[in-house]
Amino acid sequence: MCKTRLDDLDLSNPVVVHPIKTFPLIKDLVTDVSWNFEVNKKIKGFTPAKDSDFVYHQEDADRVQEFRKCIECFLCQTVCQVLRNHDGHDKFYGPRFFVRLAGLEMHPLDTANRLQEIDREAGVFLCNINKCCTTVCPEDIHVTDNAIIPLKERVIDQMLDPILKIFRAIVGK
Amino acid sequence: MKTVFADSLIIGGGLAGLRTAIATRTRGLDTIVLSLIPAKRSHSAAAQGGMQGSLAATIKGEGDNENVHFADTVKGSDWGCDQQVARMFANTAPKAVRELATWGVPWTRVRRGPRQVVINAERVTITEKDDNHGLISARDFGGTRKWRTCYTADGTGHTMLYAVDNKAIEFGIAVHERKEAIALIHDGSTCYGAVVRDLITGELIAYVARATTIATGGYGRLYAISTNSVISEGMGTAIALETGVASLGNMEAVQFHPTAIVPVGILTTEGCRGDGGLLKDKDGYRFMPDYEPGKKELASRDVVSRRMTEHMRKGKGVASPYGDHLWLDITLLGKEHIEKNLREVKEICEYFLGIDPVKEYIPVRPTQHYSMGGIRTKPTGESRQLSGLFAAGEVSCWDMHGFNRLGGNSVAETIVAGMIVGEYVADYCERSSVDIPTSVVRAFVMREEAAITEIIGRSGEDPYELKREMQQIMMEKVGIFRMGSDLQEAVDGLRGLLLRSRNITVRNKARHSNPELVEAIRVPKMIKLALTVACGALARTESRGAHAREDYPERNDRDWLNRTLSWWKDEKDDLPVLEYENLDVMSMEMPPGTRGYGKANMIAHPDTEKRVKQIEEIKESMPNADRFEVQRAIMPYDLPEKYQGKNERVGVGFE
Ligand SMILES: Cc1cc2nc3c(=O)[nH]c(=O)nc-3n(C[C@H](O)[C@H](O)[C@H](O)COP(=O)(O)OP(=O)(O)OC[C@H]3O[C@@H](n4cnc5c(N)ncnc54)[C@H](O)[C@@H]3O)c2cc1C
Ligand code: SF4
Ligand code: SF4
Repeated sequence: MCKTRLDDLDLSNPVVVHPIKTFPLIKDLVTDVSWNFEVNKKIKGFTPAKDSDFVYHQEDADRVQEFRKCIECFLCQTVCQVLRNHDGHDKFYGPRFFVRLAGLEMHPLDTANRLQEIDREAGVFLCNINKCCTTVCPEDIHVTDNAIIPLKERVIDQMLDPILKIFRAIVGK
Repeated sequence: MKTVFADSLIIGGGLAGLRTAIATRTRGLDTIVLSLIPAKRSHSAAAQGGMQGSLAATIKGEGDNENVHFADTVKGSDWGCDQQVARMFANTAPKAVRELATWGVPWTRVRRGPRQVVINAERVTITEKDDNHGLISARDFGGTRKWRTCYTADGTGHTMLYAVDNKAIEFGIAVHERKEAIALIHDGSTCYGAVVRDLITGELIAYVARATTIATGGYGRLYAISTNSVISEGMGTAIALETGVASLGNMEAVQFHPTAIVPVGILTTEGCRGDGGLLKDKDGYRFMPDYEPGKKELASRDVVSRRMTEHMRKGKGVASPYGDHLWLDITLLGKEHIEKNLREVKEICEYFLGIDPVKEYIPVRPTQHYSMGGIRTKPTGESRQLSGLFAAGEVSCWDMHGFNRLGGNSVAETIVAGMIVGEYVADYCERSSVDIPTSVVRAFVMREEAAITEIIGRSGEDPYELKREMQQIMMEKVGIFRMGSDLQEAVDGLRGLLLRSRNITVRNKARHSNPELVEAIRVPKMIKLALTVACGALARTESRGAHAREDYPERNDRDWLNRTLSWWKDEKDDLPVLEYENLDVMSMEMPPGTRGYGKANMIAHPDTEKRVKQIEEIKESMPNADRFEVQRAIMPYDLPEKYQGKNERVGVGFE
């Protein structure tokens, strides 16, 4: 992959490179990744409150500053079994876009609610947390632990929210 | 002939191009952006260190405002910049940083209370105020009086570019990727768009527009080793030059960054020194305080690069198979700081050098980095000769940087220029229409088509070889220190290459997806640009900012307080035509002075004293005026109305 060092390889045998498999081949090693750009367009951008003063704490910035490192290399999209083996292109956005969604959802000043989209159109629950995406990410983004799992938790929290409210009302907390 | 129409055509999808596109789109204009590559891969993504804007929220930025930022920029430019443009910029930069915050850029924030920083090789504790907790923070950069460079931990340009591109997507702006503008369409007085080559199919397309904005970045790759990406080849600048009508400004003003790694030339940000890193020689000795006791490692870039070169010439460089270098020591900053705020530097060191900068010194050497010169425009961004042609970002010479740009001022310029120039582009579109006959458009496309057919058909020169020779000449003879004799050799050598390039050809005869053909189209253009740089440098017999003539070491305001203009008037010419545009001391807000480096070596301009006195009189005549009124009385300047407002700062409000 992009950061593989030749001196880490066994050069007594030929080194085989091939184009990424999840997206259609154009020519040689070049594939057409434009599907990703279309997915990106569907995501609702950063939406601050109209009267926001844009002040927030570094502790809150720390979390989203991890996600902003993504370089859209789409290696994670390539290795993700949902896209690669199950051809989930029409029901799953892929790890890269959970990283973007997490960056938006966790931004301290964002007010949009994308949880229904994350559950349905983006299909977050199709992910089986095998962490292939995290393993290949050249930017060391903890895709599964820091983006996908918290997003799943948020979706579940929201679904349970009415139940929790009733529960809290009963136990008086 | 395939023709695409737009109101506002933007050539370039980096920060400057995208921000200009957002401005014209917001004004309701049909806007198209062209880019060689997907917009998010533009060179802007490489900026690591940060963006200057005088927000004054950190304790070390206290007292900062537009006046201080303006003065730093003018001094940094060695008085070569257009001071009205520097004012427009300094007033808009804080608005630009804040706008990006509203677009989701997670700027690093001020944390209340004490924290440890490294200043002048010592750990000191600074204490941030409670009131400023959570505001946008800033780090120190070279040549600035205050800590003014806003950042997002690291990788600031990348974060900015993603935010701006996603915003452009939200606005539904069309970005046509893998398209290269190879000529401008014009009638000698007005520009009507560009002839564009599809890099995949090889097809030529006419893009016809009311206004055309070039935002194609710098021309760093005229040099063999550069921190710029491989596509920073100056094509936008070249197609403007090839109109024969539009002029370029100050092409000889080329910046060398002090700390690119050896041998590959990848940059380690100025943030390394801003955060406390030191330069050391082969004996591990910190030499900068000997040369520049005031600013030391944080003198302006041109100064540090020259001092490093001087020091290596004294035999103090570290010998290596790739030539001498010096050391950048950031070990004193500590692991935690490096892994968070200089992460990209750490990774570059690990991947390209196999070293750990937490424990080891980084081998560095001054390397080509930034193009101050470019398409000469008015403060509105419009070409002075071709109406309807605009330029924004690194490609332009509107002229904010003069002969040396300050770190952090460039990504700030891209956004500010996009905001300002975008408004003027929109104004222009609203009052003009496309009234160019189709036959003229067709003639431009046919001319390019014929040229490509000729390249493919003949046998002759190898584009890669010509490019290699050009880059070598620029490296060896048009570098940090310049000499008349070397420059003359460079001009002669480049002229020879230009003549040979008229016979350029390709071995691969395909018209589609053919990188060799792309080179063959670009290289003759690059050689012309290289000639404007070399000729400008040869003619300018003084030293100013990044242009350092060993045979003319003094800054000569008497004879050279001017801007070099270059034209390529006739396709058959083998040298550019140079003319000069004087800078008017009597309208400057800051008359020429010293930058405070080394010992002042300059020949004064006859008007300087007069203007200094005049400004004193203006100030005395308005004892009760605030700083804005005084500024307006000394040097009025224009800005689009929406950006004229004052900037608010914590503790001082709008003062
Ligand atoms: C390593 C590095 C680090 C830097 N760090 C900083 C920093 O910390 N702070 C700072 O202020 N500045 C920094 N700079 C400078 C700053 O990044 C650049 O000056 C700035 O990003 C240029 O932006 P731009 O929009 O003008 O051009 P670019 O980002 O270079 O974009 C040019 C665009 O034009 C397109 N293009 C080019 N030619 C054509 C053509 N013929 N047809 C169609 N499209 C074309 C390209 O595809 C691209 O989209 C750094 C520069 C480098 C090299
Ligand atoms: S962890 Fe989930 S998103 Fe990541 S590769 Fe596995 S299935 Fe795909
Ligand atoms: S692998 Fe990492 S950097 Fe690459 S697209 Fe996925 S999240 Fe982004």
